[in-house]
Amino acid sequence: MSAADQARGSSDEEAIGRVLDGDTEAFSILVRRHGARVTRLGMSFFRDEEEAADFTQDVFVKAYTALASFKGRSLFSTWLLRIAYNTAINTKKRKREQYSLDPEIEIVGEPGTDEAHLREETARAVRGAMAELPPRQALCIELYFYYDLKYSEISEITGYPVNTIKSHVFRAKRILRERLGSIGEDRNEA
Amino acid sequence: MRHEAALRYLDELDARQGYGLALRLHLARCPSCAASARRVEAALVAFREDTRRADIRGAEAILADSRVEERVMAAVRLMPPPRQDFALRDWLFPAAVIALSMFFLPLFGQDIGFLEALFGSGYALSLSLVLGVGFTAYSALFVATHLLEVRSYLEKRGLMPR
Ligand SMILES: [Zn+2]
Repeated sequence: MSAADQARGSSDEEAIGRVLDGDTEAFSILVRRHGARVTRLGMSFFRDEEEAADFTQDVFVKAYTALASFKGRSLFSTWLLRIAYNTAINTKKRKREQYSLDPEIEIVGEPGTDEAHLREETARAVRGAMAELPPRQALCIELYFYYDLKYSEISEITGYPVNTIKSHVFRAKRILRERLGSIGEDRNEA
Repeated sequence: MRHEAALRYLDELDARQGYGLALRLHLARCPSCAASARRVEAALVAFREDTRRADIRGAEAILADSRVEERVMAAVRLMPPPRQDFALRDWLFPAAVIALSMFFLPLFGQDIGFLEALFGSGYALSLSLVLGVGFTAYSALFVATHLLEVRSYLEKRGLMPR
């Protein structure tokens, strides 16, 4: 069976089990499956492709070293994102850079349609809510709206209490609901 | 359920969490809340699909251009295989044995008197000292092999040196 076949067939747990049993090559399954998420987080932090690539490599090498400590209590992707988050924060600290999130969430898709309008409003609301927060807390909103992660998972990754995350997300959704609400009313009047 | 409560419930909803019964009953009878729920839901789905499609495409291009997978695999091939962790209790048991022997062995310590007869007392070290060194070495080994756990423990308590 080729590595590509195995990548399709096996679960994260199976791949991890094989790596721990000495089959180092099985680790490439995990890199291929979760690489894009890690790189994407790297882009939010560094906004530089080369840095995001180095960051991704760094995160996976760390994950490999620590793989035996993954006990399956959370999803592998959550566990990996926690390593990625800590690596990004520490890299920023080391470089003494202020961490700021991407202010422009790119909007693609057909402009002028209802769908595009919804997307734009959502991106604007998410962006607005993120802009009001210190960058590390703003990431909680991104993890909820973009990565579709649960409060408990975000808390595990960032170390913020669930209630803090919940209240930030609540505010962002309120803003979104109000904006979308007024669109609906406009349309009803028209 | 009132409108205000229904909207609050919607805004507090966790990711991938279904509507509760009370909310579903309200939405079934209240067109305005139902429309609001639908709009926000649709907006979030569209936003997620859209940004994700653009970002993942971008991320995958970065991964391919920089040959990240090859670099990771080249690096990990040179590394020792990840250590199969002993469970914490496997560590605690020998630690307890060593600690307890520090207390109890001196009580039964007469058996090693023959060593003293053989070599003289010039070589004698306090048994507690030997066991103490053993315990310290064991603790150091534990910390060294659990750096990540120790680190997160210290960070959680704000004890991590800067
Ligand atoms: Zn209502």
